[in-house]
Amino acid sequence: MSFKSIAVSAALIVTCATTGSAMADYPEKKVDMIVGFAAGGGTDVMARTISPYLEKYLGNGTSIVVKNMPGASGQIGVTAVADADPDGYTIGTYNLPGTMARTLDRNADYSTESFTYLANVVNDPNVIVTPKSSDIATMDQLVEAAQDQPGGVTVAMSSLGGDDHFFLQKLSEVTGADYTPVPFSGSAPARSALMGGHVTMGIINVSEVVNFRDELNVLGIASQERSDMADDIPTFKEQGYDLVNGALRGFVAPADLPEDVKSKLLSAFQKTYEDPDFQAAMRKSGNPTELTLGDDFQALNDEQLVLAKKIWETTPWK
Amino acid sequence: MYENLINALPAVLSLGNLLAVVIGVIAGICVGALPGLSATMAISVLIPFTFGMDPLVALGMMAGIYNGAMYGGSIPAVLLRIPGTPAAVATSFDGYPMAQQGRGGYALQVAVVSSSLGGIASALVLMLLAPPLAKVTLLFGPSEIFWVAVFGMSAIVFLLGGDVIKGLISAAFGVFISLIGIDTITGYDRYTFGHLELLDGINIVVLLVGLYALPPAVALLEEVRDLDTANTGRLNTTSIWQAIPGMLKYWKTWIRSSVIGVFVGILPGAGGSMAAFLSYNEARRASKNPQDWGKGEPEGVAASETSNNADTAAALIPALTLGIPGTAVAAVMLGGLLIHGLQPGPMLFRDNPDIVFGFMWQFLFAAILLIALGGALATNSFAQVLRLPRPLLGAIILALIFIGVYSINGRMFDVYLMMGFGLIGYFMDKLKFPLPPVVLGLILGGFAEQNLRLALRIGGGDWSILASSVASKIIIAMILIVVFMPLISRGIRRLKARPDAG
Amino acid sequence: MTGLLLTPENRIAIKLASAGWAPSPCPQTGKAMKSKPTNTMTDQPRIPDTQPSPSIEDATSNPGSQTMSTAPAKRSRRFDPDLIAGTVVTLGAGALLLRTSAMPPMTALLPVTMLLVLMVLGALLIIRCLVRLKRDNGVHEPLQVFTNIRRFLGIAAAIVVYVACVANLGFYTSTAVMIPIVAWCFGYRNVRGLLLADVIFTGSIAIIFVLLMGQELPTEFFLR
Repeated sequence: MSFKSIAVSAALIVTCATTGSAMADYPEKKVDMIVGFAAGGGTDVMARTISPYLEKYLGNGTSIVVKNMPGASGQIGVTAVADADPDGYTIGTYNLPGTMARTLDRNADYSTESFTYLANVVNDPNVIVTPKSSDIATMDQLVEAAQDQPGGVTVAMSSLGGDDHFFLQKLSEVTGADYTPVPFSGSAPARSALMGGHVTMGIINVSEVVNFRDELNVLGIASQERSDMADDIPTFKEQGYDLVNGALRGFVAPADLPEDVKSKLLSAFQKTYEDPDFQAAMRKSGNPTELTLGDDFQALNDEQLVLAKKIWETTPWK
Repeated sequence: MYENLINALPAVLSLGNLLAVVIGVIAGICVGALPGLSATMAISVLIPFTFGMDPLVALGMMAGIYNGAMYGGSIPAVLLRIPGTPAAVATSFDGYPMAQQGRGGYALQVAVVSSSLGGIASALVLMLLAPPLAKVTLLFGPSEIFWVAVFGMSAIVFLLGGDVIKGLISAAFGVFISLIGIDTITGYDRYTFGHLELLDGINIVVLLVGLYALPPAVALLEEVRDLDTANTGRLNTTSIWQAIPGMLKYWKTWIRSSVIGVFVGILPGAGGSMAAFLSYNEARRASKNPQDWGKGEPEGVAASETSNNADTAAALIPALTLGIPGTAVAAVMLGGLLIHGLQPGPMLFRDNPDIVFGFMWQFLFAAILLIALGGALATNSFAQVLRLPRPLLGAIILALIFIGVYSINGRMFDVYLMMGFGLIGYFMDKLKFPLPPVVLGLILGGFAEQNLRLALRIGGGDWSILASSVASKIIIAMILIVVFMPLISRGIRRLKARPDAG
Repeated sequence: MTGLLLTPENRIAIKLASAGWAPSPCPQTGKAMKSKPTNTMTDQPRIPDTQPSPSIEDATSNPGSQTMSTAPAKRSRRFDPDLIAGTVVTLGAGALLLRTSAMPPMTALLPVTMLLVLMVLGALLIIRCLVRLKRDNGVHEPLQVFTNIRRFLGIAAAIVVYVACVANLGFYTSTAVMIPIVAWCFGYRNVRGLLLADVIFTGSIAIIFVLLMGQELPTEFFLR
């Protein structure tokens, strides 16, 4: 063989060897976890709770640094993840249906293709609540009131175009009634108005309700089965209404992540989920867990986008 | 419940926890004194650190920082006309003129004593009246909150300064700025020009630093001559314990401002700056010499500082009982609690009484410690800062401003925005446009509009919902009385005078 | 930061002022060559400022020029600060008003109201100013906005350059360089004091932010 071809093949072998070994050693430095919300919020708490476990299961003494990049309901953070280098050293939190909904009602600089879907960790189903002072304590009473007076039932929500809004649209369809959405700027003012009886009902998530069973009537939970956080709440399915919806929170990385990095991350998430200490910690901080890994997560994301599109085309929220 | 309170005390008095409070107060004063750095940011940064710590240590530091920062903000507000935190804007109205007259030290002493008293009142209210006051929070739905905001806006009348047209322009400008961002009710974005970062609206710290902090920093560099810093530099302080008796005449203001501060604290969405403005305004209305206000009246400093500390613990009342934080800082603190597995609600009081009541005690101690730590710290350390040559001070403040604004969200966009506001603020100062109405407009404008539209949405477009509840009626009555009372009393006085004159 | 070069004149000034704080402004000879001919402020480099402070209502000069001569009343009418302010407010509000077209009525209600209010108030400001000028007939001296426009522009330029440097070169580098330069240029001449303050300040910020808080400021260019 000519000198040239030997040199080229030698170079190729060396490159493969070094890149191979670099990848095999992932993670070699600290990993940034971008949280698109402010410190202290639900997504942030989830990220901080999971970080020590991920560090343990990723191995190599790596550390995960949580960076808050709040703004635009998580859009700024998620866009930063989409734009980052796909080397496995930047991952971020991901909220559904919000992140996909933003591609419809705003000009988002990302799409479903922009991410490698790692794991969805939290599934917080919606619940319908009414204040204890209200006459409405069951679904049937609610539906009756709603059908009697179109728009007469006011519904407190924490934002426009979030999981609670989606749920309202589904509710409207399934019960064949018109509700008046009252979008607040955050779950705190929404709950305040709800508990004070200023609105007829509210749509929140089960994690927000577990501590306030004495102040609120919970009419049902929008999941396939009863939640183990509050197993006395009947599902809507049991009551004859096919309503399943919730807030989903997980983690993504930029698109085109190398396969071995991806599989390392996925296995770390899997092991974290199986760790009983992790489950206890999530319980304590009020996060109901349900794991959806890798490709399943991607399928879930596509499902959510389809749902969002359907709602956007029939009853756009903006 | 009271026995729970007493049982929690020994843990709080342990060395580690007390030390945490002391460190928190000192750190809080320093953070509050640096323009741009706010209590919210300091506590957000603290949260990850507290992960491994004992809950009471973490909470003690947070309580200390919150109280300390609400006082610390007044230091540059008095000495440099740069509010260290948004809540200290109203302190600068009378504090800075006092400093210019050579009474800066006294102003700081009034500030520290008032802050301490406000914090103590707040902590006591949290400890003793949490459950009933939480119910008061729930009485306030969108229409009631709207009327409270309107009440606050009536303070604009006093803040217009000499020139009504310019004052109104400032106010309208402030209200307009508060509308930039996404309209939460319809989802349309207003005047964001495609910038994602503006969707959440313009952060008050960015506006405040731009309008209030950048122009004085520029002025420090601009002034050609070594201005006589003797007046502002020399703080002329006697020991604080000797100064206190002279302050006792402000007791009415202290009580009134504490009540206002607590009340604003329990309302979700309203914060320290609104409390300070409202209480400044009310104290001025009630005083015998309102025309002296704005020129160096210590009672103005007392009013503002008392209420911005009074809303600290009060904001935690709805937060701990209902999970509804009364201010942004309380929201971050709730997150901190959550990380330790402490979820708000009645079970928190049942399952972890030592921690919850311990937390309340820590607020009390932090407030009390303010006098001891703040008095000495402020007059000795920070005053030395003024002895620095002005160009150096200006350069340092520029760097600090950058840090403060950048750290809010970790992006340069906020810094550019702040520079823009700085330019506007510079010209507003030179052209004699008053700045306080801008701040008031920003705090209350969007807030009032949002609540108004929420109320209308609930009422189905019927405007009468605004006056339907008892609470609304009471607030409306208060607004009418307070706004028309001066006119009525003047009319009555004129009627009385006429028989004599005629 | 143009114009702040070490020209020979500056060197002399530095030698003279080496004891510490120099009351005179940073020598602006460099900038003077570039400045606009007419309306800008002339600098007063060597004359110690006899006024107690750069007062706004300077009775002896008007915004058009800082010379001691009386400017013709016509110029002041055109450039009266209130007039300019009123115009800016009215035009600005008007421009923004044109952007409200895409919004639904309730969303646009308050913004439009505020913008209209601003336009009306801006117009009132202009009218009031004109009325006053006519009434006083040039006797009334309008506000003087800039006591020293070159200095202000220098500060503005310094700030812009500083922010650009922080964004591109990193925080600590830029700040460590900015503090001595800016403080020097605007009056403080004690080299040792400068360096000491620089080290103390940048150092403490570094300790607090990097070690204690782990909060990130724009990273240095050599670390990216």
